[in-house]
Amino acid sequence: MIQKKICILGAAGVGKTSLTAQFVYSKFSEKYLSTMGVKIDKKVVTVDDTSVNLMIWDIHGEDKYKKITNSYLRGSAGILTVIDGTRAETIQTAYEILERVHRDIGKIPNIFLLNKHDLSDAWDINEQALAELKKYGNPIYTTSAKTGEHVDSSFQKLTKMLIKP
Amino acid sequence: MSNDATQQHEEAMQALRRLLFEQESTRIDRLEELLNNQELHAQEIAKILAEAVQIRSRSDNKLGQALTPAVEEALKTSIARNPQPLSDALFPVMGPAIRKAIQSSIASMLQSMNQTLEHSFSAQGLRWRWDAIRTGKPFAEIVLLNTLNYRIEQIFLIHKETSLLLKHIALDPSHHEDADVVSSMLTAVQDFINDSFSSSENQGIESLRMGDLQVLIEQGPDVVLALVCRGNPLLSLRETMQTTIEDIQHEFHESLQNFEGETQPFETTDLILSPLLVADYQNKTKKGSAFKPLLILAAIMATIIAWSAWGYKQQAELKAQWESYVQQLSDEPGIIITQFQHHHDKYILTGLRDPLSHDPLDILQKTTLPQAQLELTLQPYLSLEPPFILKRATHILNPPPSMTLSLQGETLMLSGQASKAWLKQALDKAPLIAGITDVDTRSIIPELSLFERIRAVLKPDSGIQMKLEQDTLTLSGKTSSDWAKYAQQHIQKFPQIKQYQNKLTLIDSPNYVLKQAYKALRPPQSIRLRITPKMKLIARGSATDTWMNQAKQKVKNIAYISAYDDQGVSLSDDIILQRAIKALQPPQTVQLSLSNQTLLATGEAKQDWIDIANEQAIQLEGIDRFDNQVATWIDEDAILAAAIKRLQPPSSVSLSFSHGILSATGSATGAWISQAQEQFVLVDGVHSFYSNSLKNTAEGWTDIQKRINNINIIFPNSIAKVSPDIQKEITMAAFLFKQAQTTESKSQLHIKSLHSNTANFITFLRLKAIQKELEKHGIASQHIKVISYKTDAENTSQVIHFALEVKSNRP
Ligand SMILES: Nc1nc2c(ncn2[C@@H]2O[C@H](COP(=O)(O)OP(=O)(O)OP(=O)(O)O)[C@@H](O)[C@H]2O)c(=O)[nH]1
Ligand SMILES: [Mg+2]
Repeated sequence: MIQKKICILGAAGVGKTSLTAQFVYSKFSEKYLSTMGVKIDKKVVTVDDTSVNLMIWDIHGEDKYKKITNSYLRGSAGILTVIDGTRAETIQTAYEILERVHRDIGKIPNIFLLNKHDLSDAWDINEQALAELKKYGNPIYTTSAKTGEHVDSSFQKLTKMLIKP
Repeated sequence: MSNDATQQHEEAMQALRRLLFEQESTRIDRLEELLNNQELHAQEIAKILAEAVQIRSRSDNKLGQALTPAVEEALKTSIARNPQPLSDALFPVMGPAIRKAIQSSIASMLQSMNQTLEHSFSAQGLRWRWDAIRTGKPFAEIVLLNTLNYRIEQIFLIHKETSLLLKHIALDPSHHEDADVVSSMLTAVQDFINDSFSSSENQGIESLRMGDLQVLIEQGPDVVLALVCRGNPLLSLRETMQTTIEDIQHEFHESLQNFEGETQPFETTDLILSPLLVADYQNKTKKGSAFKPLLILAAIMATIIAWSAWGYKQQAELKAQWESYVQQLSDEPGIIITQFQHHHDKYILTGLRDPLSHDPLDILQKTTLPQAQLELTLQPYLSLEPPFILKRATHILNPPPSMTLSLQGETLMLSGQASKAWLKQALDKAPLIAGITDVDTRSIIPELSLFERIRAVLKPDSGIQMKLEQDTLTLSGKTSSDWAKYAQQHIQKFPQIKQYQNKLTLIDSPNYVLKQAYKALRPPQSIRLRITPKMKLIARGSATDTWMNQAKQKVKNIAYISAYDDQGVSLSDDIILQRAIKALQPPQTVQLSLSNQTLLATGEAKQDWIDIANEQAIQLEGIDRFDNQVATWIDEDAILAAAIKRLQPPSSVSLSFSHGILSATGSATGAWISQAQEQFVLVDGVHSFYSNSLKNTAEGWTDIQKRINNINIIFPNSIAKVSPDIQKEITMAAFLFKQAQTTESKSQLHIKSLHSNTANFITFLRLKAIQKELEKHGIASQHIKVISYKTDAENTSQVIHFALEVKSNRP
């Protein structure tokens, strides 16, 4: 079977761990347990008759005290960059992370996830910010780790991008 | 008188002295006594001794030096008299020190002794065999259970770059489950530690330990090998791991370089890896049974007891040891001891010694006796014992290695091969050697011919021809350059050879190898082969891929080729492909490739291109099959159009679409927004609907009024049942009414019905049914008002319609 390593990146608390938990175990919790270092899960995803064993590296959130280290990213075939839809400032962190990935690892397939879409009252991302994000030319999904919105389909899409670039 | 007078005079003087010096005189007497009386002396010194010692010790350490012999002597005497008090006093210090020494020596002895004990305890082995028969378990398992020192339970072969698991082998198959996660985690832990302690990349962790389990990690350039081990492995395991990595790096070099996540090619690594598992079972996982350490412990305890006893008997034993040393020397050929004396800690030996005998000091070194105590006075002499005669002869004659010397009586026997020159000098010198009277040369084999000697040195293969004519040596045949070099160097050692003709064909020379390559690969004319000095074979030109694949295989069988580079070989298929591209004119987003007469198209294109390509591709020459994997081009405009058609946005809303996201901006009613949120999934190609920046405008009350007033229900003749169609209308009315209520809570829903005189009862039933339906939608009866109109027209279709009104205080 084909194996691929992917990384879930983004600012702290945007829902990386929750998205992984929803994808792998179909579970969600309101509790916030900040990830230290990295947590690794796996799930077999099938796209167009090809089964891929995804090794999902859920990496600690980036903040100004703790940058994501390159060694975790090394060998990654693709990434999911998570943005918290209720905190527009997490877009900036996403950009910074992505720039670093491009510089150190190269242009690997990426998908942006605008997470916590279920919290529409607190939604903080306007058209202009969205337009800016689209300029990257990477697919964008609105997701919710809580309701499961687009969680499967976004992982599925990334896998597809990995095996059919 | 004179006598008397002197007497008197003396007495007078004494009286005078007494008068004058009575006091002083007693004091002098006291001083005198003080000086002469030893006992008083001691009393005085005792008064100041402690202070004096202190003062002196402060200024230098002479006092200590001076006291040492006395203290040593005192200790000796004390021990000789009764060792108990001293040993009691020393015990608290010695106890822990001895324990520590024992612990570390037990630890280091255990490992080395275990292995030797292992094999001698065959009784144990027999018992295990019996256990195996009795319990029906395999013997190996019994041994393992009884002797487990360590065993490898799992092997992880990990791709270094991606941390993906290439191969996993486990004793217990249930461990397979999460091996891939473990593999990633192991790498992450390594990364974490490297980052945290900022050690250099290549200096990864070598082991992790958790209780009885240990993970041993060794790194190669592309792979990491991790062994999960129970117990304490031997150090040599590390080496085995390294060679295993080297083997894998070597054998799977290509697959490792091209690794994209496909682990299938590494299935066969188990051939290389499993020996790690098995070998450790059989050879290294042994440990003595529980009583062996006890045995050793007992041995050590015994040694310690003996050691303390030896402390008391030291003196006597030391002497005995010296005596045994002297005995040893006397037994030594070529040494004669004539006198052995013990004098003041010194042992003095006198005698004779042949210079060729063993050095007495070397022999001393093998004992524990201190060399400082030995004084040797040995006069040189020539021993006539046979071994010495032989030694002396060897020393003087210096025979070549091919010669053997032996002695029969006083005759020196020479055998083996020797040059004439050596033989001559041997015959001259031998009779002069002490102990030799005759030389026997009958067993000497005349020396080999020059040709044979050269042959013996060069050891040429059977494929090599050697020719010696006068002083010219000719070598011909096939050989490696190593041997050719070897030959060239060694020929120089024969001064008789003046010329060397080298006609050797070097089978590892680039030219020869290239010829072999042409023979083996049979390249088509369009291919040119070349070889670099480093023996890399390079192919250029064009060929079929069948040839290329075969060549790749065959090249492996050609000796001395270090690498094969066929990147410069273009497929002849290229031509076919070029034609296909010309004919099909694919857009830039489409990639075409050709293999095995199959044209493969990937990427994205408009549907019409896909259709046309499907038709035309197979008609092209050289293409048997068209594998069209091109995805239909996502036409964002078309998707947007479809979305508009499906969602029917009001003019206040503008929709846009990109990257699968449909975004709506502007303003719309809540009803439209919720309808759109439900329905956007029905539009192909849209995966998200982004409506957060859409303003929600409530519909005006009058708008709703208008819409409700437009709702009519028509019952078929004489039927009071609510049909699905009617139900739909009522639902709509209820929905609108509820909206009206949110802006105006006092809204009233009027149900107006037209009916003829004759149909009163059925009208009543119909109105009741409608009211009931409305209640189902949560509209209470106090908000509903029924109004009936009579018409005169006969047989009018029964029409009921809704109207909306606000009671009293609405202006
Ligand atoms: N409502 C809602 N809450 C979410 C969603 N995703 C995550 N959360 C909550 O957000 C908090 C943080 O989620 P995590 O998944 O732990 O965030 P993280 O990105 O892994 O955080 P770090 O590990 O610290 O970087 C938790 O309280 C989650 O319950 C979502 O889609 N909707
Ligand atoms: Mg987390």
